[in-house]
Amino acid sequence: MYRISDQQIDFILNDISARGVEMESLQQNLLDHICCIIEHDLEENGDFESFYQKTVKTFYKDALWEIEEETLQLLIFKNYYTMKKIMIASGTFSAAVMSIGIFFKFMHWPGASLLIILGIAISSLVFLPLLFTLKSKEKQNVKDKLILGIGILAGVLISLAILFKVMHWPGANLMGVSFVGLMVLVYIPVYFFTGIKNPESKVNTIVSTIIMIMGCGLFLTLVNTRPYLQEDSNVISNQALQESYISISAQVRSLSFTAYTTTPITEPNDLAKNCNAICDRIETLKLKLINITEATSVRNINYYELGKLDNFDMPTHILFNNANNANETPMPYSELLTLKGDLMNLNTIAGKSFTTPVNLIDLSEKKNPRTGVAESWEIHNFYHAPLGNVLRNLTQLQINIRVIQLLKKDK
Amino acid sequence: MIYSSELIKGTLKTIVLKLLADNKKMYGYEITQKVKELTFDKIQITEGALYPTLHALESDGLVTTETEYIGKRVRKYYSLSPSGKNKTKEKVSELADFMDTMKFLLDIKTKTV
Repeated sequence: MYRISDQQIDFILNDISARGVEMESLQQNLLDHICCIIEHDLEENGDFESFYQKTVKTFYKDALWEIEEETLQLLIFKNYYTMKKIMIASGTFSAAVMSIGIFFKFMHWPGASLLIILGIAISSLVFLPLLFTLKSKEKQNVKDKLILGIGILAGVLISLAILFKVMHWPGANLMGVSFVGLMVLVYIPVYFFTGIKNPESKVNTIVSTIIMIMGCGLFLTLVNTRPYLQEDSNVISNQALQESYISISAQVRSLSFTAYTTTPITEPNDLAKNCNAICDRIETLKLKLINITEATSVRNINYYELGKLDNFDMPTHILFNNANNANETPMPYSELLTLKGDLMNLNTIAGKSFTTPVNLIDLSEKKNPRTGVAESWEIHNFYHAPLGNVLRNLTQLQINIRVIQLLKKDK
Repeated sequence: MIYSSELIKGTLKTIVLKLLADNKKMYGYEITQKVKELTFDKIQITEGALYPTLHALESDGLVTTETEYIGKRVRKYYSLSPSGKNKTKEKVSELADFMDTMKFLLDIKTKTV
């Protein structure tokens, strides 16, 4: 009877896994089986290596991993390999599409959003659920399955949260917070205490736990804290401006220097009528911007009820013609151009009324604080600006017009 | 004569279950040797068929396993679970019934041993 040394056992085990058998319990079974055969059939001074090679060949037709394939087929389900192929294909596809989408977004090329949505949707709704289904069948005990399930759920949550955030769909913050909660309160503790017990994975567990906590912290800072603060200040300053405008308008009306008429301007040289008409038109424009962006139909503006003041895209789409193409100069729609023309006219009339010039309505070019390039009034105030900023600029304009009206009356 | 693997494939589960019922606990190599011995080498179970079957039986809850360290390597002993015991009776009587039907179907005269 042949005696097998520990080195030879390691050699066999390594060879089995090198031949593509990955399941640990199957490796152990085959190892013991081969050792039994060698111990029974090989003479004491026989050639271990060649006998081993000869023996292992009797186990299969073409390759040793056939045994594992057969096992998985019986163990899991018939369409295991189809699902695995779909999983790998969907994972590769979504990763590629998402990367291309992000590149497009950086270059301001059209189609970026579509690619990103597609990538995130496929990865979170096809790839991750399939990954869970396949991996959970391989895990033996309930605890491992649970950890895997929670991990996958967290993955789905974070990718959907980012998608919703980017698309300004409702529920993004809720999903982001659920993700952080799930990670910090459930996944990381379970992962940590399971891994720390095993001396081999101890160091790795500590390092990856720290990285995960850091990641969650960064994510929370990025997605939740900042927008909340921004939106709050946006709401408060916008609402304050709006209230100033309302009270100053009431003041103008109570002094009633002219009948309160609206568009069209019948007397182009009448300062008061011009002011009234332009203020009303701006109010209508503000309502239009809000109602389209928020998909509502309100008639009075209440900033506390608005949820999309950080929306970057909608106001630009409404006010500019080629909002998606970075290579061309953005062209404002006639609505904005007419407003600019009327404001220029108002400046001319006001200029005649005052001995010292009033610069309350400044339509000159301004330098972009970031790029240093001079921009026209409409680009500077309204292009690629979040809804909150656009509305604030418009209200400021209304207040300035009313101030001119009051100054004229004082004079 | 060695029987073809196609014939064995359909009956392997029953063979393994019955062996475990008679021998309490066995490991893989032992099962192959036992079958060889009992059938005078007529039935030789291949490793490629045995281990997938054992894993499937385990995941169905019909057998339980216990491991034993033999020096550096692990030996996995298989034994029947309570539900496996019932299943064995079921499987054996099903196969007996099947053989009767096959005899009738193929018109095989019963040989006297």
